[in-house]
This record gives sequence, C-alpha cells and structure tokens, in this order.
Amino acid sequence: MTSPELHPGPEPVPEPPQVDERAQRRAAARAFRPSRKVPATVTAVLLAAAGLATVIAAVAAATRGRAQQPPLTWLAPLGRARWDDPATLITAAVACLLGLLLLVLALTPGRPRLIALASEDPQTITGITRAGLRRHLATVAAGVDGVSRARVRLGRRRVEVKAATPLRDARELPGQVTQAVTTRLEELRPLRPMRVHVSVREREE
Amino acid sequence: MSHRTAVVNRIGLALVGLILLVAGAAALARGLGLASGLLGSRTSPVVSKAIAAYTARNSWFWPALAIVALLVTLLALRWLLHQARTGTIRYVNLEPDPGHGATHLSSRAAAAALEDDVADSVHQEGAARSERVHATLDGAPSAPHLALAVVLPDRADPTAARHGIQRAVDRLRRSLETDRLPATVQMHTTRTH
Repeated sequence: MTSPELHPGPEPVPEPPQVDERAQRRAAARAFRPSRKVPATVTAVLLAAAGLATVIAAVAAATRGRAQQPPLTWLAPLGRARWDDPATLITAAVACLLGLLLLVLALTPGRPRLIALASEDPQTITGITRAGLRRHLATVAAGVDGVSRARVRLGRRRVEVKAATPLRDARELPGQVTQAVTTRLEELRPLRPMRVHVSVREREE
Repeated sequence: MSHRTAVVNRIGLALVGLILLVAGAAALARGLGLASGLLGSRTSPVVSKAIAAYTARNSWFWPALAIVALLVTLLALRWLLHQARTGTIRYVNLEPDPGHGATHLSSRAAAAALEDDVADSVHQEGAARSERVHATLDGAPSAPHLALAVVLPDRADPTAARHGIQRAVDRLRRSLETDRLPATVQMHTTRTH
C-alpha cells in the first residue's frame, strides 16, 4: 500500500484545492498503480507448464507396470540426488531468490504508469504519461527565446531540463526557462509537486 | 484496464513467491545442515527410501498427485486468461428502477459519441486538435466507469484541453441522466513538428 503524501513539501499550492487532495492522491495511486501483467503472465505460464509436467510424470508413475511404456530416464538423477549436492543447493537458492522477487513485485506499489494531476471534478482521475509530460515540457522549454534545443528528464519529484543555446551571453536564460516550465507545471498541477532544475549549455553553431 | 486484474495478479504473485521462498529456504537449510535436528541429515538423498516405500505402498499416491497437479495447471491457465480481460461492458443500463423495465444503451455508441465530442471541444477551447481520442466504458452496466485516453500534440495547451475534456464528460453525464460516472483520463502527447 502506498501511504499518501502527508507533507507535500515547501512548494506553494497554485490554486485553492476544491477537492480533498489526499483522497485524490489515494484514488490516483490506486488507478495508476502497475497491474504487474508481465510478471503475472510469465509466472502463470511457468506454473501451468510445471503443473502439466507433474501430471504427465504422475500418470506415468501410476500406470507403470500396467502398460508398455518407455522408462522415464530423465527422472533417474532425481532419485540419486542428495540434499547437500551442489545441484540441489543451487536449485534451492534459485527458488529462494525467485520467491523473493515475486514477493517484492506483489507487495511494492511500483512506479505509477502515469503522473497524477489534480482535477476539479472529484469523480475524475486525470493523469499524463511520463513520456507525454516530458515531451510537452521540452516543447515549452524550447519555446523560450534563445533556446535552440531542450531535453527533459523526469525523476520522482524533480524535472530536469537541459537546454542548449547558441547565445554567447546566456546568464538570464536559466531563469527564463525555469519560469516557463514552472508556470506550465503549475497549470497542470501534478498531485505530487515537482521541482524544476535547469541547466543551460552554450553550443557553438 | 480492470482493477480486479491488478488485485488478482498481486495475490497470485504473492502466493507463488511465498511458496517458492519457504520451500527454497527449507531445502537450502537442510542442504547446508543448518537445522539438522528439525529437518534431518544433509547427506541423505532427497527422495529417501521411506518416501519411495510410501509411494510404492499406497496406490492412491500417484493418481492423487496427478489430480492436484491438474488443478494447479487449470488455476494457472485461468490466471493467464484473466490477463486478457479488459472489463469493457457492452451496454449501459439507463433505468435504475427494475420495476420500470430496462433501457439499454450500447456503450460503444456512447463512447463513440464522447470521442467525437472530446475531439471537438478540445479544439474549441483553443488547444490544437487532439490527435487521437479513445473512450471505453467498463465496470457494471448499472454503474459504469469511463476510461478516456487522449493524445495531444506536444504544443497544445494541456489546461485548455483538460477543460474541453471535462466539459465533454459533463455532457455525457447529462445525456445519460446520471450524476455518478467516475472517469479516468489518460493524457499523452506526440511530436508534431
């Protein structure tokens, strides 16, 4: 379970929240939590395969002697294995690690599929994809006069903008880019506030 | 995306993970001789003479194992099929009182109307025209939930687009004559230049 953010940080809240933000954050976390489809599919397939192999082996063992059938030669080493064999130990260790991995996947919330945005309507949960937000903020940063190219990286609560400029004197540019990106972010109102960091590189044309 | 699939997946992963962890840890402890008093000697074979004799003596053992393994296989296949479920409903029940008969509306028709409406109103709000709108209704026919995915050009003003989307969702609520229609809106942007 994700615990809702109780302390949203020092950032100012842009507009007075009409809706309970904590409830919204909880609902959004629930809606955008990854559903673990890939690990579930892989585990289900492997489980089905292991179950089927056991069925075949058990049926073979049950009907042994009654019908003519090839002996299960691949099962013979299993009958000779000892608990302290390296093969047994490795198998046990792998099972341990796999089990731990599956438990972690099951119990941790995981990285949300979308970044949740505050919404005026309490019945609506809105989110924007990470790639979508990155691309949009990069366009905003590139729209600032003097910026020739901008790249954006998103952290959990941090927006990192890398801008390039052909200008020789770009002392004011970082402030302008920060201003533009922060303003747009405040309009979008992510439920988890994000801080903007800008670095500007002077580029020879 | 059905919320139930997520719950089922996490329960399934936790169960399989727990079984693997406990069995693996026990086998590891025995092989390393960490708890020989509890688990037995580390040098004994995995399939001991006692186990072999037991399975030979009881004729029900192998058929029973086969049945249990079959059940596990069927459960795993069911879990696998669960992944393909979208939870989409075919119709929306517009008449809350069953005494007054039933009024069904095709949810595909409602979703298609909303898709057009969103595309238009996003455009009217001054944001550039949305690239793609996809709406589906899931949940229960008498308590539907709306899932809306909107792809915007990266230069579009997302605030204006959101107003347009909200207005279209409000209009759908009004035309379905319901106050309760929870919605999940996913926005995405694409490069357009």
